[in-house]
Amino acid sequence: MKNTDNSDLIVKCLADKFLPLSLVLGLYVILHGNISPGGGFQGGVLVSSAVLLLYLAYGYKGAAATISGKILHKGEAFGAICYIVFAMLGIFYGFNFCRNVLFSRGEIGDIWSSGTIALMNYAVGLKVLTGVGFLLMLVIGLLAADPAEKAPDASEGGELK
Amino acid sequence: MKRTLLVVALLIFMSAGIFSVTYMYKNIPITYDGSNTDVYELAHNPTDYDTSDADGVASIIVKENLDKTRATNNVTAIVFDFRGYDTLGESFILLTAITGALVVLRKSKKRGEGAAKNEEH
Amino acid sequence: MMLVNYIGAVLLLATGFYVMMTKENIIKIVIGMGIIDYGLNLIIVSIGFNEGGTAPIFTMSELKPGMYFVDPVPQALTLTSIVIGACVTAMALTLCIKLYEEYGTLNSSHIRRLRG
Repeated sequence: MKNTDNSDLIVKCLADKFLPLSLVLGLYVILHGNISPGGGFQGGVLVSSAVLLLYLAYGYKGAAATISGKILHKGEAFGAICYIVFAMLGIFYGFNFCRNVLFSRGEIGDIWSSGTIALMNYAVGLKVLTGVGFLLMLVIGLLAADPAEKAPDASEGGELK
Repeated sequence: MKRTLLVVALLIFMSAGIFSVTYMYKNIPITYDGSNTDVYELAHNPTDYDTSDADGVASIIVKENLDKTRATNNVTAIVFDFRGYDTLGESFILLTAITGALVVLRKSKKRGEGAAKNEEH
Repeated sequence: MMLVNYIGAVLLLATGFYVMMTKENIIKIVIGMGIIDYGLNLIIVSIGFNEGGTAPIFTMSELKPGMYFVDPVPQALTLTSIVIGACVTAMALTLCIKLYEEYGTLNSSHIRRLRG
């Protein structure tokens, strides 16, 4: 069993309260990109601050148990491919590259209103979200190679066979 | 000797910069004035506008935006529709920076875990 | 009112150059590079300002007759520039980590002597 020390109880409680707030606010800013200030880049950075909150409250072990780096790395490539597919819709319909061919669906002022602008917004939001989160997990994983973090793991007898 | 030369060069650079910026603020007119595009009329009848007397690219973009893209956010429409090619390049920069950081830090991650394993044997 | 923004951007540029050229710690050099990026972004955004204009978003319920917009094109180009600055800073800091592991010191004048 891991030893539970209550020395950072205040940080854990505050991180529990603020983590869903950052996720919901970031998703709101990404979704309403074409009718209010914001967009894909700004909302993606807001959502990726959840990784830092997890690391502050639960250490590297808690963050690595919740978020896996491989899924984030694949998600970033998926976001880039989606952006290129939506930009190539103009060529498939017979016009030039990166042309808004779905602009006549929906009313002015709705969320689904301006065709490929909204779709490109979601693709870029997914790309920034997963990309910055993966970069943060990479750098935090370097910090966890201290002997102070490895001490509970070594005493379990995993490598001393 | 080198440090005094550096400080003198930076002072010349700063004074030249402040002089040119005040000259630009006072004497050179801005291209897109914006006072002759009535935004209230444009928001309620988006299809009747005329771009024959435009002063700059920005006035054409603001007048044609609601009719051609139906997006109320002008900045997002410029970034993703009128100038979508630049955003493609910026996505590639994000991808390259993160993959480059992963490649550079790969050996140092293994060095950290390999050293801890070698200490225990 | 925009004159204050312009003079502030020129001061940021000069401060960034001074930090990059005289400091010896490599992390301080990376911080100086970031300060130059902020000064340039400020001057690009401040160029497209009209006196008395509002934000370039067609909010249907708050527009009154007689309003006009500020220039939206420099704001769109500054978005790209900010992301590029952040990516360059991230790559420079990973190179700093590798330098520290290879040479054991963060002082750039000591590193230059270790040749051969």
